[in-house]
Order: sequence, then structure tokens, then C-alpha cells
Amino acid sequence: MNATPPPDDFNEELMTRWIDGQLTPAELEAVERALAADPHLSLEMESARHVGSLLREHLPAALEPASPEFFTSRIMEEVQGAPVLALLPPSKDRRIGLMSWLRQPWFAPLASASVVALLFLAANGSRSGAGSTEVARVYAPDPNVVATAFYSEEAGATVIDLQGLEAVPADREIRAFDVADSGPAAPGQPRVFHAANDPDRALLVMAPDTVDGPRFRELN
Amino acid sequence: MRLCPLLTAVLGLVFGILSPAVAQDKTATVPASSAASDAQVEGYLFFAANDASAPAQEEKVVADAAVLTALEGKLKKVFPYSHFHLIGRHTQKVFKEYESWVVPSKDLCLKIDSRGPAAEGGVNVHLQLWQDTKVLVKSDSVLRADKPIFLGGPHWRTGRLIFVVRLK
Repeated sequence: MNATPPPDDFNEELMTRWIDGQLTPAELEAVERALAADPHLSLEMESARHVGSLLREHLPAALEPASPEFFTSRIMEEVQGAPVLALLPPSKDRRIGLMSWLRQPWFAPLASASVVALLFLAANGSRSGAGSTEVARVYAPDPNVVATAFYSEEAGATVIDLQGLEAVPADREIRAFDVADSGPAAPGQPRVFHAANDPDRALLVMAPDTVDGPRFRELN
Repeated sequence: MRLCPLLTAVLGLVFGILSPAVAQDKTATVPASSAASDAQVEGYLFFAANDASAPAQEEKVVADAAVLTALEGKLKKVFPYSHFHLIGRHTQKVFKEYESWVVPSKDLCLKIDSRGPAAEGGVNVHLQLWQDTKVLVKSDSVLRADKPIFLGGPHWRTGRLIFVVRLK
């Protein structure tokens, strides 16, 4: 390692270690010289360090997200809604070409979205309202379905409204029951649901593997 | 494709955080007999319509009259129907760390994963409304006493199926 790395060594790896405060004194001195000599480079490096510090500041040591299924949708929503940060004009200096990803159109929204999503995840775990049922987030996997969630003060209820669902065919019978608490079942065994008015009468059996959705067998 | 280190680090951090929860969902099974429950919920399946005649049902469904009246009053304030016919009901304990299923009907049922007690009462839950083998919606919610959650489901015949879940 050179004591004073030439400008061409100003690569992504060096920048990452600078953000993490892991440069040797000699590397740090060289970087600071380069930054002092190049305002564009200085601004870009500060921008990257700011993103890193936000992540460190708001990322709890242990965070259990409310639901991982929502991560992609949250990111996409934030990307679509996030203001595009003012980007620096392209530098004519080829020395910072290796960090051109900082000026990519997707970087600022993605970085913003990442920070906002993490802030949301961090806040969501402790979020609570004044005695009302809350919907933190809804997600409909079918792109044709629009899921809307709101709290109705008048009804005193949380409403999750699904629009765009295919109607159930009119000639189909909806098989519904009055079902008692199923109670625990042994691991790997089917779950049996009994009638509320007759605990000895089994109505439905659900297959133990529900990863691909519930599968029922109706008992007559 | 080469990813920049910072972007890689960001995505790594985020997915590293999320992966345990994903794994938990995949491995969820039924609880052991000693499993503790966070709450007991009631799931109701209503057929909302402007027709006063209820759809024919083989199974008779009985619910507490006061609860039913209160629910119907609340439903009318949200959904533009004059009649809410109860066609299915299921009372179910919600177990810690395990999936629970509320199945008033095999055609429309609700998966509930408890996320533990909420800060100001109630239970944090992850809900999934299923129609047959298709998940219609996923939601993170807090179930609180006397604050039901209404899920407006698919249309059927001259009305609409509505799933209601409440803390018992």
C-alpha cells in the first residue's frame, strides 16, 4: 500500500472503508487531500457518508419486522413517492468515474427509500394508537386487486376493503359453519375443526402443510 | 453486474434483518399442547346484500345476539348494504409464535400470526385472508377489544362476502 495513494486508487472499496472509518492514517491523509482539492468529490463522499450514518443511527441492533412480505411493496412505494434528491452535475474529472453510481438516477431514490423503509420498520414495532385497532399496512399480491385500509371512527372498526377481486360464481355454494375452537394439534398432523354445537362432530380437516395455502377436506 | 459496496451493504443489512422472519413463516406449524395463547378471537363470515332473505345454509350458525346486533350496526356504517346475513362463525385461540386459522368457511378463511401483545392493549397480528388457495390480502394490524376488523371480500350473487375478526 502506498503511503499516499494516487487519485486513481480512489475506488469504491476505499470509499466504503472511509465511510466506515477504517482507513489507515496514510490513506486517510491522502483521501482528505483529494477531497480538499475536489469539491465534487467531497460532496459526493459526504452524501454517501450521510446515508451510511442514517442507516447506522436508525437501524436497531435487533429488529423483527412486522411482516417481511411488505418489504418490496414498501420500497416500491417509497421509490415512487420519494422526491428525487438534487443530483450533482456530472464531473469532468475522470478520477471520480468509479463512483459514478452515486449519480445514477436510481441511487438517490433507492437510498432514500431504504432509509425511509428502515425507519418505518423500526417505528412499526412500537407503533400504537389511542385505543383503536390499527392497520399498519395492507398488501394484495394480485396486481389486479386494490387493497385499502382505513379506520372508521363512526363504526369503531378497521376496514380493509378489497376491490378488483373476481366475483364468486353465483352458482357456487359457500360452505360455512359454526366452528368451535380447534385447539392445538400435534406437529405435522392435520388440524381438525369441530362444530360449535357438537364438540364430537368434526366438520373440516386442514392439511398440516399450509405454505401453499390451506387445503381442506370436508367431513359429512 | 457489479453492485456498489454501499448498495450491497444496504441490501445485505435489510435482507439479513428480514430473513429470520421469513424463515419463521415457512416453518410455522401447529403448536404443542402446552402452547400459550395471546388471545381468543372470533371470526364471522357475513353475506351483505340488500335482499332480506339469507342464502340457504346447511349449517345453523349461532352467535351472541348483542354482539351480532352491534356488529351489524357497525357494518352498516361502512358497507352500503341493508342486510348482513351471518353465514359462518369460528372462535379460535391465537397462539404465540404459531399460525392460527379462523375458518368459518373453507371458501374464505383467515390466517393469524400473533406478534405479541400491543403496547396499549390488544394483540399485534399479521393477517392473511385466503380464498381457497389464493391469498387475497396480507395485513399487519392491532386487534383491540371492541375494535373489530372488517375485510371486504369478493362479491357473490347479489351481494358481497365480508369477513369480520374481533377479540373475544
